[in-house]
Amino acid sequence: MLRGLKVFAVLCCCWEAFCLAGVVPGELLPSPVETGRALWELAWKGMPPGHLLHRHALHSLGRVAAGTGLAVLLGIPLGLALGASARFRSVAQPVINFLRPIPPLAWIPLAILWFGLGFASAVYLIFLGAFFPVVLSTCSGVASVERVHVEALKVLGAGRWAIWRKVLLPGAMPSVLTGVRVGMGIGWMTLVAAEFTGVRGGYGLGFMIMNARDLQRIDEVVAGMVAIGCIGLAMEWGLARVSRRLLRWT
Amino acid sequence: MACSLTIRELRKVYHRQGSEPLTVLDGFDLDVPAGAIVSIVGLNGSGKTTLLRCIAGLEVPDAGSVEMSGDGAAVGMVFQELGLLPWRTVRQNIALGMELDGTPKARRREVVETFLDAFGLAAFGDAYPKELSGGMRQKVAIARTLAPEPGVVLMDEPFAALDCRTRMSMHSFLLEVWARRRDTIVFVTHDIEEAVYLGDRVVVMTQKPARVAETLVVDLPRPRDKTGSECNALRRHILDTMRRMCAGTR
Ligand SMILES: Nc1ncnc2c1ncn2[C@@H]1O[C@H](COP(=O)(O)OP(=O)(O)OP(=O)(O)O)[C@@H](O)[C@H]1O
Ligand SMILES: [Mg+2]
Repeated sequence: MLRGLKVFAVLCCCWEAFCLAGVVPGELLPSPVETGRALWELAWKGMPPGHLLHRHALHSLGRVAAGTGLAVLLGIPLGLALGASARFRSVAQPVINFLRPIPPLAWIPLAILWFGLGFASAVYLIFLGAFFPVVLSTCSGVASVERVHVEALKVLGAGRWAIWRKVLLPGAMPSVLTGVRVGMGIGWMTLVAAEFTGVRGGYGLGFMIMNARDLQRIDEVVAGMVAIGCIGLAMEWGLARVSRRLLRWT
Repeated sequence: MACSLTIRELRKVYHRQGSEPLTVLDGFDLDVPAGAIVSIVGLNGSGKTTLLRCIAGLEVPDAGSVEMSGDGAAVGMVFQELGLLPWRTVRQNIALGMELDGTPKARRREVVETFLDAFGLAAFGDAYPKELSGGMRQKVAIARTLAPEPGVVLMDEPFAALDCRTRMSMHSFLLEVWARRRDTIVFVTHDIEEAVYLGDRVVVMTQKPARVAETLVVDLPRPRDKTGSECNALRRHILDTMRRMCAGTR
């Protein structure tokens, strides 16, 4: 943690030094000090004025939570089914492998057509980003459970349900958690694109950045990117802690 | 309750795609009296594991019968790979079989504590399998199998991976537990010394397709002298049988 902060400090110093030395022209990239000032402005004055940074962040977090939550809710059962049944896998895998490489961005026109501008289409795009990592890691988690663990339960007289509850689910857990982490990260990455589809009440980090761009406030654009990065970092850090706790046995 | 085990004319054929069917067991007969230890020795790939898997119900035999005295008698199996569930603590692993057969919680806890004490694992009750040494893991696997009091205990080369000191202590340990409980044990190994030391009888398997080459009664009081003249004579006899078998197949 401390070491991480030091690395950031060093990187910021380098960045500032480059800007001061004029290696990077100011109109192409604001310096850290300017970015910091812009962050301050975003936090207290807002962009557009009155729309403060923390409200943007909360709205974005809400969308990402809904999208990722949906992806987890639907992706884990689908992944479990895929991992457990080779027959189902052979039917569904081609379809999944076909849909997976289509970037969420490409879905924007359809999303707007289906769900209209606003919350639902944003959530749908985030869902698309998070869904496949969750499905695939859950599937490989189930498939990677050792045969001897399942057989140990069978010899002890376990039925199907007990085998699921006591072996397949806990055995797939590490993989599932990795999938959720990756999915959430990608969901967060999809955010700016998702908020292209319009936001209710004019809130959202992506919306904020696009606004700053329209006003040619490159410092606030970068400040918005920094904010997205920081929140993503915090989420990853939190999830890593949770999964370390849950996976003490590994 | 310890049960007796009767196997008649057991036949198991593996069918694999793109190759000849492989007859592993053919006309295999075995009688294990209640409360006896029967060692089974055979070369690598002779079908020892297959035999145990048929007894445990993990494979369906192609012909023949496996019968146990006493109705609803259960088998327990110590797998070659142990198959301890890594996400369960030692306590939870030992309790697994009793959870599945519906033993009440209080009774379960009582039995687990008895095993922890008897197996010298009291200090490691809440440890995860990864934190244990090989010998301790072996003990946990044996405790997990014995705890639900199966009618017949199957052991598949349980001590193959242990060094000779640990193996020796596991031998006396197993005999100690057995002397108290009088379980019916089918003990598979390819270590002839171990087979003679532990067994009331030693069954020598032929090469594939396996049947019984010879059954020896080891009528020696315990504790036995591993390198005493009686044991040595039996070992030499078994070695001769195996050597003749190998010469015959060539
Ligand atoms: N699931 C399977 N499908 C096809 N063939 C199998 C299968 N399991 C075992 N065999 C074959 O059956 C034969 C006997 O195997 P088995 O594992 O019973 O031998 P073993 O006596 O336990 O050997 P080892 O001493 O090496 O453990 C081997 O030739 C093996 O290739
Ligand atoms: Mg084997």
